[in-house]
Amino acid sequence: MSIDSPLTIVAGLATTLMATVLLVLVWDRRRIIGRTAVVAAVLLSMTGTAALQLNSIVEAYPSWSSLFAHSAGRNDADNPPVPPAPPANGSRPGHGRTETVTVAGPTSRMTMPMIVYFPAAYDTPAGRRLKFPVIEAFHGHPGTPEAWVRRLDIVSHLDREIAAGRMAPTVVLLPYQTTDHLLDTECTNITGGPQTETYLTHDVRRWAIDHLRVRADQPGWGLIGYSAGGFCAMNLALKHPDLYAAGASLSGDSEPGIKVGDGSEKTTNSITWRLTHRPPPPIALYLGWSKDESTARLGSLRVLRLAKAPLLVTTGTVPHGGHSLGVWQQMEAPAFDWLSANLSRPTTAPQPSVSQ
Amino acid sequence: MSLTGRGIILVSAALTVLLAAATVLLWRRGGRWRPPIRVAGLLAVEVLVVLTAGLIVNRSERFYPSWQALAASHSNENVAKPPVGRLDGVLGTSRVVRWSPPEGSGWRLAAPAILIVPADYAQHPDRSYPVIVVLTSADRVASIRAEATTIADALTVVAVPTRGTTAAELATLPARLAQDARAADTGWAIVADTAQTTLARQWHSLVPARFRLVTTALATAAERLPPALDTPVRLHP
Repeated sequence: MSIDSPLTIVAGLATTLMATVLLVLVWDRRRIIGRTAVVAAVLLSMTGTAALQLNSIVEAYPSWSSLFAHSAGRNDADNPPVPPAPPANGSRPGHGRTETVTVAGPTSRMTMPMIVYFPAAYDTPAGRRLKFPVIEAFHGHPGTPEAWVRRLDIVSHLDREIAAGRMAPTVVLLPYQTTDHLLDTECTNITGGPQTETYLTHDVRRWAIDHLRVRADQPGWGLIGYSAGGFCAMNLALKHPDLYAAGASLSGDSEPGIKVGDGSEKTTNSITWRLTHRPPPPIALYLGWSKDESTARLGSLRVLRLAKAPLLVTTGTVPHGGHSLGVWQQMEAPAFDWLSANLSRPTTAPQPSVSQ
Repeated sequence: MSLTGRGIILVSAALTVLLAAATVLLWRRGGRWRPPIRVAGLLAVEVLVVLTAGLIVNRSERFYPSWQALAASHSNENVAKPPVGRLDGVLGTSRVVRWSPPEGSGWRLAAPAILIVPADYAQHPDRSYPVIVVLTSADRVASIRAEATTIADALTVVAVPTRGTTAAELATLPARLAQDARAADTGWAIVADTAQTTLARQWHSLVPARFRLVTTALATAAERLPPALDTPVRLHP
């Protein structure tokens, strides 16, 4: 039984119910030790079930093994959690497929699994001659790439937009953003911690260009993310305009909201600081938010207000929905359509080698 | 009552305390109904404890700021109306046309511009195309026109500027073309001969939202363009 299935939650509720009934049954027959033990069982099953339900929303621990590897104090970088493979759907014509790979980061020293979405065209005879555009998709915190797959249903959204001709066939990379499930990196290089910025902008990119049939040039690469991942997409696109042509933020803030360790959360890792103190790069940003949520709304409006040509900003809003999966589900199709329109098309041309 | 207000948390907390007290008071009562009363009381307290904790967290983090937010609907996506070009009828039968809109007299071109559309232009009426504008000399028009007919999924406009052609006047060209053919809003390219580079760069800087790159080779531009896409799903800006 997987950690995030509804059955697991039902089992948790049943355990809580049984523990409660047991408490009533043993109360008059046992003394302090027996009573305390059952009360503990009730509290444990109750909080455990609530925690499982929360986890199934954010997918912080997408599998039991990832949970136990973390609680045993093992370093994920030495022993990367291998998420269970999502349901294989490569055999259905017209549908993309996903594959889980491990990306070893020689520069960042981060070695993490990554889910890769291959559009249906990737496996066709015509597609074998093509180099596809690429989008890196970032998850929120707490969270893992599994939330994109299981909670935001990214595969169906991409399949539908590509099949409708509203998006070009695109390879989508879903990397991890931290070696420690509970450490929020905001995709920065944490002093004395995970070098996530290097991993995502150098190692993951390098790996994809070396192993996949993808474009290697800046106009062929885009970023997207929700919540903390939205900040990641904006921040990394603005910091690396030589690598990415476009970034889409779904309910992302303009500030990282963490301590990076070198004070850069107030300077080079603050989008408001960057837009105020550095010349705007010639890239495109998409900012999406729900009007009833203040953090993402105010953060996005700050970015919009400070953005100057040649930096281009497009916005998209929903009237209500807060900071939730329901909002991001609504924004997926518009944001991916926009990204595709701002990235280069699949090409047969040989790609320049990347020197860095 | 607001989902993130103090009121709802106070009510939930008060109910928790009340039910806990009631459960304790009734603990030794009820006769043969004693076990179900105890179980019901305990379960109610458990649910209320979790509910209160959830409300407190939601108040501080604002995941669901309103009752409406709990039921985020999927009705807000709107697929914009497919564009129609005034020349779409003509372009259905002829892939190469002379394009000289009445509003384009200010461009001061040496001859009417030539518009070339891809072979399957008429078969995709919902599709918008990125555009390559070629600024060249009169003697190269024929060869560029031949090369442009091989480009898939893009519109090509071949224009021969004169000394009187200014970037400021050309700035109106994208909007004019969007009226006449299904041209995309962004992702355009300018291909300019060496003699036209300055004009191309000036034009590019006037409408950066439109133009993606300035280059000298048609093939480079075609390869770097965005895809030709059907009308996207859009949210309210």
